[in-house]
Amino acid sequence: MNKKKFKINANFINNYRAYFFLIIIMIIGIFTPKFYTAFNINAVTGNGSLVMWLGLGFTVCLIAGHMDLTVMYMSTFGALLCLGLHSINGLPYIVCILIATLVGVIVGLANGILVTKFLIPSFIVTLGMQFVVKGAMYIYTGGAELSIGKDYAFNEFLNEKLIPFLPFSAYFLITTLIIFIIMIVFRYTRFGRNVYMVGGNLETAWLAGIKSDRVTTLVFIISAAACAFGGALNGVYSGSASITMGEKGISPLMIALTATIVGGTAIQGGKGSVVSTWVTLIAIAFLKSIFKKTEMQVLVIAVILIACVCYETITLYRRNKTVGTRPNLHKEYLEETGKAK
Amino acid sequence: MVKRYLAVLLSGLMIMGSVCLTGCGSTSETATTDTKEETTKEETKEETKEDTKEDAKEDTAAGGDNLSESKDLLAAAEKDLKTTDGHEMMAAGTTAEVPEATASAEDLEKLEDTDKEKWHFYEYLDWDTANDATFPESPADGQKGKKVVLIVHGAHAWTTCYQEAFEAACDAVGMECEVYDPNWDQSTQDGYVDQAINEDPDAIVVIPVSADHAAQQFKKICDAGIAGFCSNTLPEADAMNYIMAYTGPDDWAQMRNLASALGKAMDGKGGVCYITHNVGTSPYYARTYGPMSTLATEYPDIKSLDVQSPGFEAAAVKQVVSDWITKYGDELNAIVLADDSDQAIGAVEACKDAGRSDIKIVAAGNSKQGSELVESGDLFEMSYQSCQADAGLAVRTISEYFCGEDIARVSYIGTDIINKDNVADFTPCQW
Repeated sequence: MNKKKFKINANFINNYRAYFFLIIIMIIGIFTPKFYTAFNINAVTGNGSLVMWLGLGFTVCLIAGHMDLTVMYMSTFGALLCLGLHSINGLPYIVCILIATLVGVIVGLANGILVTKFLIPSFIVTLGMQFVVKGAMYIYTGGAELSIGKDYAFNEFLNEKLIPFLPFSAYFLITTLIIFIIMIVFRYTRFGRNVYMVGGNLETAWLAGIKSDRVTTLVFIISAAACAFGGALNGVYSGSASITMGEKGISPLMIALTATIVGGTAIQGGKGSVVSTWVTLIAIAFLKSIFKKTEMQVLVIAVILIACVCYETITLYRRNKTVGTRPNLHKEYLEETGKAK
Repeated sequence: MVKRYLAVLLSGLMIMGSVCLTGCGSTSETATTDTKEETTKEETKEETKEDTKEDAKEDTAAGGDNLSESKDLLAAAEKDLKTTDGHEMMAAGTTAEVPEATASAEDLEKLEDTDKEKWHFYEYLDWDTANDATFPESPADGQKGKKVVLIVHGAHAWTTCYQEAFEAACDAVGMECEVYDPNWDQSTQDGYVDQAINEDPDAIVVIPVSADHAAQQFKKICDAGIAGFCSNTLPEADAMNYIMAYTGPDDWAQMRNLASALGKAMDGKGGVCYITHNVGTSPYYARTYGPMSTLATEYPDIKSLDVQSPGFEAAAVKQVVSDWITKYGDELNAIVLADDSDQAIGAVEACKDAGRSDIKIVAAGNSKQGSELVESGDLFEMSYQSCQADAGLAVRTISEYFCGEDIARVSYIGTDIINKDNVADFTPCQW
């Protein structure tokens, strides 16, 4: 039996960089005043949950070899729709969230059909679709901000600790639960393996009999529905929503993209994990708590992203240099001819 | 496999670590927060008991030194601190009487934009005090040594000026101050509110990015047992249930004054167009519908021709004004702007290019560019809204709260109208 040697080298660190990133942040946290308080952990993970939904959507699409730029506006639309249906139409929150998710499914379906049936690159489709969603939001709200008003019951539930001894809000725990369910689906089901195969090599996937169009469309549906659902929950959790949410400051879309890449998801598809993205997003959320000034947060996040992309590029360049070559040819010859020492 | 184990291990470590590490902290913190009110109540009870009279006297004496020193510092700051243009920086605020609303908010929404009544709930902080939350009681031991966190709305020349004035005022009265800038992002500001609560300061001052979202932010602050003050931006009325005090400019009053002066200069006739602030914000309503409804009430022969929201870029404003001049011709006699810097530059350039120096342009002020335009006669009039006095009033109110004095729930800074004759009284400009 061949046993793999366990080595802590550059490759190992790179493979588990998301976890190392989190460990470093947690160690720095020890030296940060009032970092390890229940309130801080609850607030940081709760406020960071929205980008976890965006990261989830972005990662699943990127694994399948596509980009979904609608994630941010989809979550905002989900929030506005949920708050609007509740405060204006008086529907119960559960119905509002379901309707918001359904709208996400429709948008995801449209994205999927345009990408698979009309063969338009996903970047273009989702770039256009995000403005369609934004326009729809303006029509729906008239540019106004929507809030929960004085109905704090569900807001308080999402803000409160679901498990009394854990310093995490119900919103964060729901987010984490869904992310782990998606992780299980992607890792242990045929559909999940098909997504990796479609993203890794579309031609091979087709030869293997995978209905790649269906898989791709489903991935877009999962992404948009998750973002709409997460956005709806976030609307209630934070108490209000507006169309321009995330357009100023550090864009949630950029954070999701950064976390996806830092988390190890391959830009060309076929490789990645929603849990790694989730871990990176937790690290980024805590990083914000350490570097309190926005300018420092932007700087540190950008440096980490650049470092990861540089490493990926150098690795890819080295790999491409050796593709098709046999660096061990001389050694093999010596072994075959029995001249090896 | 390694990755899976590592993930499980790390998740477990994180959860266990955070539980262990926060266990003590959270208990003590929660206990601190929970017992804040109880302590105050207990202290009051203790004071009535004769056997603890001596202790109480000692406590009061200890606080009394700080209190008298704080009051001296505040009095000195009120006297000494001046704005860049030579006015008092920490002058007392004014209050405005709130007239009774003639109908419910929903019914008033149905009225015409030119009807003053329609804007009642936008103009006045007309909230139901019966729903007020339980605010933390003043320690009444003076502001000296207290820590205040200021959360502004975003980066801007005005914000820098406000921040510097706030820090200077805090320094003068002996308070420690920390400033957070969310760069106009609502969710970042929410994060900063949480961070500020986590730091457990004595007071938190917020300039809300969004008026509608202020209630949630101040509810959090109030629930944490910290005194929350709102500055500059008018929050939604219901947010006042959780706000210790609001201080800032009376945007509606200053724009109504400006409109009255404009109407008089127009001899009560002609047409007016409006360039707005960011749609949905409180200055958007105050600076558009404040002057519009005033002109409609006081000068019924003045027509409102158009309202546009091109933003704050001079080029975009210039394009809009040029289009108005082409479309309305001689019907256009005045323009009301929400901003006296880039918007004013764009509007003045468009009028100059079209040879329409007869168009009277008024704006909400007062920036350096605005002052220069008033001085040159290109801008007819602008309102005086002192940025530094805005910060000064906030610090004064907080100090008075810590000194145990009664503070007004809503207080405004003074206002004036700047024209070519008196512009020298308001220079050099604050920002």
